Amino acid sequence: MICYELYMVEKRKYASVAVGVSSGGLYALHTLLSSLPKNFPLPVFVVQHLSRDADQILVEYLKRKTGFPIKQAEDKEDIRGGTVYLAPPDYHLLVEVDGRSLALSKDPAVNYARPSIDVLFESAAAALRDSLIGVIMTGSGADGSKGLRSIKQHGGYTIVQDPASAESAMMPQAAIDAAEIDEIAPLEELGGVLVKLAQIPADRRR
Amino acid sequence: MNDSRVEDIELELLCEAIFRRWGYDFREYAKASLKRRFQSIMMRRHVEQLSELIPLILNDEQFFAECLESVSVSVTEMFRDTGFYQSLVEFVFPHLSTYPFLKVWIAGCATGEEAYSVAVLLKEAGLLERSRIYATDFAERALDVARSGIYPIEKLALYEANCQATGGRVRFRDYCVEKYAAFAMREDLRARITFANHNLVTDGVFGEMQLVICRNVLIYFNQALQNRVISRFCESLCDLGFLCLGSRESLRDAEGVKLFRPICKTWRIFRKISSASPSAVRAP
Repeated sequence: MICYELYMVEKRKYASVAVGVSSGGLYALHTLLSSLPKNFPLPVFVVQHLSRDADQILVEYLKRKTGFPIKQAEDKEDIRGGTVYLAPPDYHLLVEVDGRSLALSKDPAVNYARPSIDVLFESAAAALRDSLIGVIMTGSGADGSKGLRSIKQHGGYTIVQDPASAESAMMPQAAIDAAEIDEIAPLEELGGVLVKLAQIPADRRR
Repeated sequence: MNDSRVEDIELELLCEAIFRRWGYDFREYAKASLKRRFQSIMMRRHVEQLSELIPLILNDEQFFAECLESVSVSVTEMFRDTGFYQSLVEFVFPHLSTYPFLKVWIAGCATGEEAYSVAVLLKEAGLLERSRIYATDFAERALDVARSGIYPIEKLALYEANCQATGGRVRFRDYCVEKYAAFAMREDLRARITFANHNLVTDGVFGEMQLVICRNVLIYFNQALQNRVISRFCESLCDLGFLCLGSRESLRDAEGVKLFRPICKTWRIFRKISSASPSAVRAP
């Protein structure tokens, strides 16, 4: 069941955002989160590729710089709108099948990554289906391509950072090659795209 | 009905089939991670639907044994999460040294690396001789590896580095013997560890322990099962005994919060503050 009622009074077409970015994408992530208004209503799940011994400094930095409620996801944490959940180092982050909470896993690395973007995106796609927006940003490798395709297959909205202006074009390009993409946008415009999507009302027949 | 919902039904039926046929209960496992594990099995077997695994699970014992391994085995390392081991020594060991005899339960020990790491630290602290470590898992093949205490030589360098990172004077090489393409943990460590088959979901309370360590196992259980298992840990612990969870695991349930006091928030080390009788625990 998709739980619109958890975090919305007005029904929206899109209820969550999932973002994937590589280890070098701190600037991109910071830019994206800074460009969201403080009252951005949707939960945002983020996998940034991390070294397994990465510590909390990154989270603190992003919180300070963006003023956004940003936290490292806990196992079984309830999903709340307007919060940014970062996958912790050395765990996979998943959305539980009922779409209400987050789950962690210590299963082996996927695409040499733990946390892996594919793992987040595939679980989120199955749970949240056409209410999910998926975003792939700068990075190397192809982690996230399969996941973005899965988001599209389940009816979600797919966005890729424009490879032409991305610091590292590999991941965005791999996603474009693998999946049907709804929108390609340069980094500075991604936040605006998300804000517009968050305002689209749900179809009346829901 | 959309296909995700159909998949969820298939997963439930698969777990029901496993439980009725083989007695292993995955019905209260966290579904997202369990589904993903079965999906890798599906890919290996070139199977399109989860439900196609059901006849195989029911009729093919060998296939079931392979599934069980895929769903249960987690890869661990000696002294993984050096901060946890440092905190164990700093916050827990000083209290353990006040007991004449120590019982330690490592739940979900897999291939044994955590058990041996704890044994090494107890030895360094002069506590091993008074300790008995019970290391349990329901995966028999992993337990066989753990009992042998033999690990591939390729891992030795990593384990040495992990161990060194805990600080102190512990040298991992002092505690093992190199043998051909492998190394074996020292006999005096192995002598203090009992590796036993025990299923956290279906089996009962285990002993009266001063220390229970269960790290990154509860993430695979749903909330209800996690709460029951934590209550079991509480029953297993003596008053003022210690419980150690994985670094992103919490005592989410109200009962768990009442039964334990946090000692180290970063590494999820808790201390039992009250005795919970089974009836008190089951109260709504």
